[in-house]
Amino acid sequence: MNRGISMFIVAFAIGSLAALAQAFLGVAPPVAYGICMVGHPRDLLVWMANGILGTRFAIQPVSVEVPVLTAIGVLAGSAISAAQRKEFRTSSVRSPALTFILGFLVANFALILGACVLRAVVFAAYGNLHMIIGFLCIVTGVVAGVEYLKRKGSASQ
Amino acid sequence: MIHALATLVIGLMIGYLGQRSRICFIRGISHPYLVRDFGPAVALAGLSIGSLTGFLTFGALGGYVPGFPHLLETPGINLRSPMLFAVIGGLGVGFFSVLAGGCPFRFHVMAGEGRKAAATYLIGFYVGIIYFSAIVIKVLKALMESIG
Repeated sequence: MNRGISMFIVAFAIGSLAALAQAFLGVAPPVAYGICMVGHPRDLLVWMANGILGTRFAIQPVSVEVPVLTAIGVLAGSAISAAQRKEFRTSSVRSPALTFILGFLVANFALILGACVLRAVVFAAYGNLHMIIGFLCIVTGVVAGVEYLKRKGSASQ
Repeated sequence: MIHALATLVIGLMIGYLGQRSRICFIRGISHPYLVRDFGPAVALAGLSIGSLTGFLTFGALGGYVPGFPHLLETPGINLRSPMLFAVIGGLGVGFFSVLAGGCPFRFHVMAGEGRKAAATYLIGFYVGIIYFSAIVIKVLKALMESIG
């Protein structure tokens, strides 16, 4: 199948599942929260921390009693697919400290925004003006990042 | 309880599909700009059209879609707390995700494939989540109070 068409279908399915999760499967409130790759891991981690360590970190209403488990599902789903296709890769990490810090920073900025890139698009499709602005800022940030990498690349040559 | 099971099953499905398609929503923005390759950009189009179609269809079928579409209810743009956070958060997510090389969804998928670099990113990501929940959120609340 054409790469563009298959990617479109997968993205369409992800968007539809996010809407389905909210509409009929009880993954709300908040709205447009059917799938979020920073909010859902946050709910799971915070739910565990609050339960085990007795902390009182903020959690979304949907996850107060039982947390959402999207992150575990994605990790397992990807592992199953990789196992089927014999695509397990245990490549080494070039710069672990930098990779760790980038993960740390992305998580913090995503939580300031209130969404990962995936949820930002779904929430923008829901018509939320804040998230439309947020998505435009993600695009601006991406362009700035690409320009930074280009200049860094040409400076090191 | 049903929402936990639902998210687990949906996670399995999108993780499986994500591994097969190598879909990445940051690449969908960066590649058209960097190498004029518009292939990955269809991911963004598919996601927005899929979710919009879903909200419209499931809403018409009686599903829980309150206040949709939000645009009609969202107050005017201001640079106070939530909009300021959307701007700062959006810029940071875009910039640092390009440096990292993908969106959080793509990194979860790559970690599931056994890649150590993605697992390292996710450890930083999860530590970042706890750091935000313990410290940054208090700073943001104080900031919101100070700017009204």
